[in-house]
Amino acid sequence: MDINKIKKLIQFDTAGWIAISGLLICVLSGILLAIPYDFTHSFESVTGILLFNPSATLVRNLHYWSAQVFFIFTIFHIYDHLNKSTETNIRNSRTWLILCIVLATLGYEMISGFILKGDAGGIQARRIIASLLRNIPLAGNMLSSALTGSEENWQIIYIQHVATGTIILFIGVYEHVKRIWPKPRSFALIFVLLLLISLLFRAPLGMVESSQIKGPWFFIGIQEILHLSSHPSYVISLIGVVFSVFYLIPRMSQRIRRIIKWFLFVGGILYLSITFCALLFRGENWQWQGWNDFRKSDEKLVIFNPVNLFNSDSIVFTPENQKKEGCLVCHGTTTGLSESHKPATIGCFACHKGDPFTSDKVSAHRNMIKIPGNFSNVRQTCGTQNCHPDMAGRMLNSLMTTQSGIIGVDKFVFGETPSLNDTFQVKNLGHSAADTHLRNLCASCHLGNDKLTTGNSAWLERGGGCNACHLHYNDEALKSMKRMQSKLPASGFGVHPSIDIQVSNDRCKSCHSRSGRISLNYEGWNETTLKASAVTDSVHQKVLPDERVVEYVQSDIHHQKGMACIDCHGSYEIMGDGKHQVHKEDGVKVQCMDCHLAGNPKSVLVARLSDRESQMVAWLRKIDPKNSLVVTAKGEYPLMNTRVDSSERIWLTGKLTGKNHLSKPPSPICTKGKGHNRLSCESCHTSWVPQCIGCHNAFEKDTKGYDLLTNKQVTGTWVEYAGIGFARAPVLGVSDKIPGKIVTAMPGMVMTIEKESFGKGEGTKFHRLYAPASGHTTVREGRGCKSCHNNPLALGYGDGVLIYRISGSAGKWVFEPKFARNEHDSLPEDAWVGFLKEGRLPNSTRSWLRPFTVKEQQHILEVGSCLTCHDVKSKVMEGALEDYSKIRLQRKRECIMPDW
Amino acid sequence: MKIQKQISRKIFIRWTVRLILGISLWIWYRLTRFQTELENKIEFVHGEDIPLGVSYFGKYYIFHSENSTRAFSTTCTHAGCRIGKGSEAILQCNCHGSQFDGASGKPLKGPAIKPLQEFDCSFNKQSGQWIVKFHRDPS
Repeated sequence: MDINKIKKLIQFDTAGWIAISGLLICVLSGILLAIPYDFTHSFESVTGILLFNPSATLVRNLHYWSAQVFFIFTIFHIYDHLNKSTETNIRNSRTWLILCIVLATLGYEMISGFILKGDAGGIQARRIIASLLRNIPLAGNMLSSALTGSEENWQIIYIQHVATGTIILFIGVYEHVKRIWPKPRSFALIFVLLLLISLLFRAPLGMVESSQIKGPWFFIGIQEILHLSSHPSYVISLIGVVFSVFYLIPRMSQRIRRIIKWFLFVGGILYLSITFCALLFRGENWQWQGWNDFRKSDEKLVIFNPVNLFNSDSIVFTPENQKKEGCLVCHGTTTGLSESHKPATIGCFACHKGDPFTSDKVSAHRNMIKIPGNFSNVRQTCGTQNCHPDMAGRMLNSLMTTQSGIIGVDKFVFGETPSLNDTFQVKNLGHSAADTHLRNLCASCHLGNDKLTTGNSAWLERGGGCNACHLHYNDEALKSMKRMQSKLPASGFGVHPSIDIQVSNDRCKSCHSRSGRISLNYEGWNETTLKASAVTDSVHQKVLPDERVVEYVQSDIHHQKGMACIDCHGSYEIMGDGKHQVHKEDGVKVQCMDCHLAGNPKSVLVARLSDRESQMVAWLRKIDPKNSLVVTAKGEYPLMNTRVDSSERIWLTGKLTGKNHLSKPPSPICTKGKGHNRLSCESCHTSWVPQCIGCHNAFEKDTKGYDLLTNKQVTGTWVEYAGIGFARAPVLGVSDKIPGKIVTAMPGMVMTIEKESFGKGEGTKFHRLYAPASGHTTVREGRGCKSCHNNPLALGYGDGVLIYRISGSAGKWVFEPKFARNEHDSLPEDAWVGFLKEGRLPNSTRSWLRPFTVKEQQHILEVGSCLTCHDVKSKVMEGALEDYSKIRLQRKRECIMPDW
Repeated sequence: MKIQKQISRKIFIRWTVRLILGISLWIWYRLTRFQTELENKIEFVHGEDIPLGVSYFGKYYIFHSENSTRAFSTTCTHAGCRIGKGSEAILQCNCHGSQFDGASGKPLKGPAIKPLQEFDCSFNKQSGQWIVKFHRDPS
């Protein structure tokens, strides 16, 4: 075919006549659209059209696409004239004025059409136009009232759109070309093309409560300029100037006309570029978004959703107060979700995305998020502005997401960072020796690890964002899930897993059974080095799902009383407080003394809770607004399941059990005299902590391993060979955070790292770093005096025999270790510090933790020497507890003090 | 004489048209002013137990603290959008990205530069209710 013929076929008519054809189709489809459309319930009526009325959907699509054709080809038409300088043909200034008015009216018709769909973008656009019009001097309020009406009543904007605007456009067209009918061939061709487009592509519609507001595509540039300008009146003035210049063009000299046209052209190109960038890359709250985020965003410009005119489905009855989403046509009877996430209230789209405005299954499920709540989609799902923006923000900085402390300590022992106080993010791990070590052994325990399959998380399936704690499948939900996966008919009707705040201890175990193993400790289990096949006692031993064997030692008193992890640890701990935390102690807010204190507790009335999240939790847990809640000393966070009664007693209600517990004040011995005021509660009341020493790490380049960050198999992996482990009372050390405070410690990184195996010339590193211990093995009765003052384990010397030998008038402490001395530092394998020696640096996984100095050891052992003769409950020891210096001065001649 | 007659008729018609236009504009002005005032003279009543922090009520929000209770318009002072609940005591305008301090209504982040309009919020001891008087300045 001749190229000219193709050109002729494409250029079948002028842009002006194509625009007029578009206008006619737009008006005709508008008349039909007025039948199902209801301006008093605009969004609901448009949703109803899309869901239940295919013919009306087609008409709406036709109305929308023909309006686009009219708008775009009018611009082309103007460009054509300006390009050929034929605007001078219009000598009559009245005609040119009318054309300018038509142009303004066209803009109004386009924006009012966008408004009338009644979604969030439309509602906000009406407010913006009303406000911009009000900025016009003198006539602002009149124009605003006449063109945009009021917030509650859309009658005015509807009438102006369908009547006034249309009349002006027709007058303008007639004034311009003196006829209204295009060539039948052009009209027919455009009609067929538009019909085809309308059959395949749906006119856009956003959500009514969307927090990501984008104007119509032709207005997005103005929205961007408004975002950059604090004075919207400047924008109005700019638009006014452009129109005025356009009006004056025919009267200008040829040279000025050329300059003005050049400016208009460059301005137009710039405007289009801004529009394009904003359309694609502007996300919620003016944050940059990538292509994937754009695909998942609420409102799309072109949606492929063919209209099925022959759909025989009848209109489905939907409850008046039910969310108008196509998903609910099939899934409306879904049960299982808690009150706060009921589909009738929040719909399905808020979490699962997809297409809520179609009843076609394939289209509805396109771009659907099967597992919302993963951090890869949290900003589109749970963390949107309308749902839980604060929590998502906090979670992304929390330790359970960043693994900052774990990474920091690991990199420190590998010599890759000089400080223990830097913040890290697991997603930023590279491929250094430490990073690879973390990738191979630790990097799965973070919330950013996406949950990839439905169903309850398996033991090794760690992470999952919000799902890690809040997604629960009961038996019915599991059956429903299996039925749905079987793709049987009517499988969409079923039980949804619940999304709730009833987080059981099992949720924590998968990750917190590692390292400090607090989840296991709390329930009384200590990890052993036994193999699963070696288990003989099914009562006192059990095999974890990952084949580790644990044996029963003693559970925490709070566990014995039926308390769960979440009974102490609130959301501001677990989900973070928004700050970038370095170590676990930065994240933990609750302390023993918040509930077990001698004086009156610090409390807050439920009705006086100031943060939205606590208010929401109070509502969800149906807490009486007149209740007083305990407030943590650290950070002043309310403990939502506590109650301070009129006698200032503290009650704690189990979140999972509903059982009430009366909190006891500390025993008199805890607060008696000066002797023990430096002791933390844990130092006396922790019965045991898991301790392992002699761990050996080597990189085996031919061994198959796993990159836990990417969830991929790798060849070459770090392998950890465990040493010896035991459950015994914690070591005591000193915190410089609260100067002089005696705290509990346990082996943190007592290990050998064969760095040579990873990189030549790196050698072997040995570390003896102890970590602060949060045993979670609390006992009612604290440890006795001798358990600290005469105990080599408490002092950090390791296991062995510590004896006070008296020879004549001289006393001397001697220590014989049980374990051999390590070749690297000559200390017994299980020691933290040498007997009556200063600790060598570095000795802890924290900059603020240290073993006792020689002077402190001497002080403790001096009291220990008293205890070798005097009974714990003797007057001397009771007095020592009150004022040791006084008792020391009063000592008898036969008292033999140690000789250092 | 004939020419004078034609001119005077032309002037008459021109002035008549101007008069009609003027009267129409005046009626339009009065009508819109009345309508705006009607829409803005509304009173809202709330119970005594307003929670602490920001409570959002569509056209306005109430910030309740230990020391004071204040009501502010939720119309963004930048371009008239309705601001929504942001994080904690920060209100967010999703149209152009402005942020406001819930307690004082002052802008925290542009493009808005003016504080939110404050409404009368008083406690009626007789009825035990908070009354918010909506009196948006039409200008």
